[in-house]
Amino acid sequence: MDFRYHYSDDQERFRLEVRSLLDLHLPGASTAPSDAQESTGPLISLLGQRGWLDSSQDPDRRVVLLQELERLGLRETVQQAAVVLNAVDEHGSPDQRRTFLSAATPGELACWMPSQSSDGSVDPAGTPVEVLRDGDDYILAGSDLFSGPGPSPDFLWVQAVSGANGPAPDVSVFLIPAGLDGVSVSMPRRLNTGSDWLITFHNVRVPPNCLLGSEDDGWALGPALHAADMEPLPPLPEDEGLTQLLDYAGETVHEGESLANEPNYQQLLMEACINSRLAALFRTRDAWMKETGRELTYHASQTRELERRTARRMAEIARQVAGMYALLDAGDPRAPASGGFERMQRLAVAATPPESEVAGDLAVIASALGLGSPPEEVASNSQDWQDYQETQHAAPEVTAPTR
Amino acid sequence: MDLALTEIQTLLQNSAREFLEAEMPKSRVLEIDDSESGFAVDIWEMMCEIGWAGMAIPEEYGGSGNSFTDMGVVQELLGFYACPSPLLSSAVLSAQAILEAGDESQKQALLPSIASGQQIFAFAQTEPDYGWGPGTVQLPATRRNGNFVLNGSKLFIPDANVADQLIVVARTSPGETPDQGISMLVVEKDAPGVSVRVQTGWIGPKVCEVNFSNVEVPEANVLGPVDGAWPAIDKATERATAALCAYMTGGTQRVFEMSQEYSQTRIAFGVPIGTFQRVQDHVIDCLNEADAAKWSTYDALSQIDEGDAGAGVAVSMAKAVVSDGFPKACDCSHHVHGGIGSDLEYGLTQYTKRARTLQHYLGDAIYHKARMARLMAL
Repeated sequence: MDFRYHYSDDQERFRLEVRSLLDLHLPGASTAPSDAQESTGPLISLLGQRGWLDSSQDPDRRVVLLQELERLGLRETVQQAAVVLNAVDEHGSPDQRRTFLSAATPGELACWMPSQSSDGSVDPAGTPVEVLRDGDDYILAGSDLFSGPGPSPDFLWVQAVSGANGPAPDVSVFLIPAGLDGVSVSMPRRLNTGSDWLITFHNVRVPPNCLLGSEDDGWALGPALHAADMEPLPPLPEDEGLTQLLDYAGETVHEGESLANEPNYQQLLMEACINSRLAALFRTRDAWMKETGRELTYHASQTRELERRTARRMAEIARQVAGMYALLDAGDPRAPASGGFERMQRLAVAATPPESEVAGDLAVIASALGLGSPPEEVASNSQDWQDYQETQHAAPEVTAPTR
Repeated sequence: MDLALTEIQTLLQNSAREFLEAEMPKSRVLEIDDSESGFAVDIWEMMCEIGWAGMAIPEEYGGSGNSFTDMGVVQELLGFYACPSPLLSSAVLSAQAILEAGDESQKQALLPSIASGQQIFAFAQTEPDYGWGPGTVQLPATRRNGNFVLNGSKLFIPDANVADQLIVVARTSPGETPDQGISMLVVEKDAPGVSVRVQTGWIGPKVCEVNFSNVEVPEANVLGPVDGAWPAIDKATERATAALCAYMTGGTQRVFEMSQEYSQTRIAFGVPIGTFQRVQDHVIDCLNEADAAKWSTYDALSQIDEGDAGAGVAVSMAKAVVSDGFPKACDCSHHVHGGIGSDLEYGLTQYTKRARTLQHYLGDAIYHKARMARLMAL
């Protein structure tokens, strides 16, 4: 077995190319990543120009691109841009395809989508936006959290409840120009400043050519919408937050001794190392499975859920190790890690997903494990149970399906 | 990046599964666990005949010189079937100690009999002040007439009751630091003054108290340098720990599979209990622990095979993961199973008992996190 990801010369060359582009357009971001994404619009456009938004690009290069973007907290933004292009390619009208796919620079149009904090991010029917038919047009009403590249959107991917019948209401998806009358964009005060925007639709009249796919058939776009979720995360070359934490503990003296030598802190630091390594191993597994054509079932969801827990625990450990200093931001001259621990605190809380999203990933795992299937569909293969039945009295309160 | 088993490893896996499936039904495991010795001669002889006792021993000493990953594949399946045997004590830990510290004549004299299974060795390190660091080694070995004389006790020693020989870790001088002044001595279990008692309790595999009363050990039986054996002990236990992790990984995987299967087939309120989210959460926790154990363990095994400088950290990381994860998976599985889970015939308790015992063996999570920190030179 070999758990190391061996980067080819081409990948290393490509990494340098990506880094120089990022340094040029987001100066300083690689050393002090910001959580504001105001400068990402032109960057996304440049990535599009170079063909890097196409998710079908050389997979080896895509690994490198996603790694470099992840270091700056931009991976999801770029994956989102690719999702829009893929969805339009598959479901768009000729007009939409012309607008988005034939643009001089693919990715030039900043299209924002419901953010991961949105109630509709997992269950489109949970979106707080509704749509009504009015003649040939549609009327959108409600508000939702959006995210995307740049300081302002050109287009919005809006999913709206278009019918309330049945357990799964109808959903329609629109790609609307952000400048339509009645669309207002505001920056809510949130812990992850700059990543989510509140967009309100004040009875916005939407022309029919903005409908993506068929009316009431927004569910059909689900696979395209969640394509990024299903894509295995790239292997992580290093965990910068962990490195900062270990450096801090090694350099900080408390009561005459390095924090790293104090047994209780050591245990916490090693727990952080273990969590980080496990996350890396799970990513390696997923990448290897994808590379070798193995079917990923529960794996991407498991990795994502592990990383969420790891991020929260890492923030907690940083607080325990650095104490009050972990709460100082980059503006304070005494902030350790250039405010990296403070940023870790906010993002870990802000990234705490709604229970629906956690439940979504857990449901994917449970489904892949064959849990929840009706009894008649379950192969009665519980050997442990059958062995027990053969050797013991049948427990009266339990009914095992027959073979 | 290649996480696939090699062709040889796949063959090993298939043959091991076939053997254990046939020979190690739960009823047999329970029977062996219930026996006074906790040891089945017939199973041991078959395992040796297959060649498992020689896997970690080079060919020049009668073994097959397999990689540690090869051995991990077999250990994982032994753990999956909760198979009790002295394989880890004798053919891995003791053999590695001899390989690391023994001189050529000692290797030639001792290793072939371990590889063939003719002799069983037990490794006696832990004492009443239980722990795996050098500071806990206090059993004195004092010089007398050219021999070393042992007086004192070793506790929680697996397989000492069925062993032919013991490798005893003893303190031959105070040393300036805890890791100095430690030596390893090979002691015949039947030597005058040696007594072995199987310790009782909800513990498995069986462990023993070994008492030494004026036991004379010839200096020729010292493995490695007098007073300077700790580096070899640390290396040998490190490698055995990786193998133990594989065993515990197999147990964790089995506990997950039992939980998954049971939640699919146990009907409550007219539906499989796997439809209940709380039950699903417990099964998923089992899966998470099984996967974490598997990948951290194989990462460690492959680093040992590669001679990677970070192998020690990887091994301790894996042990910290499985020491916490195996018992946790068992706890979750008991939540899934409810009352039937505590029925001895059902089989889950065989894993729960091992999880709670093995989480301490060769160092618990706290010990291994401290070891990681030391190796990382924080």
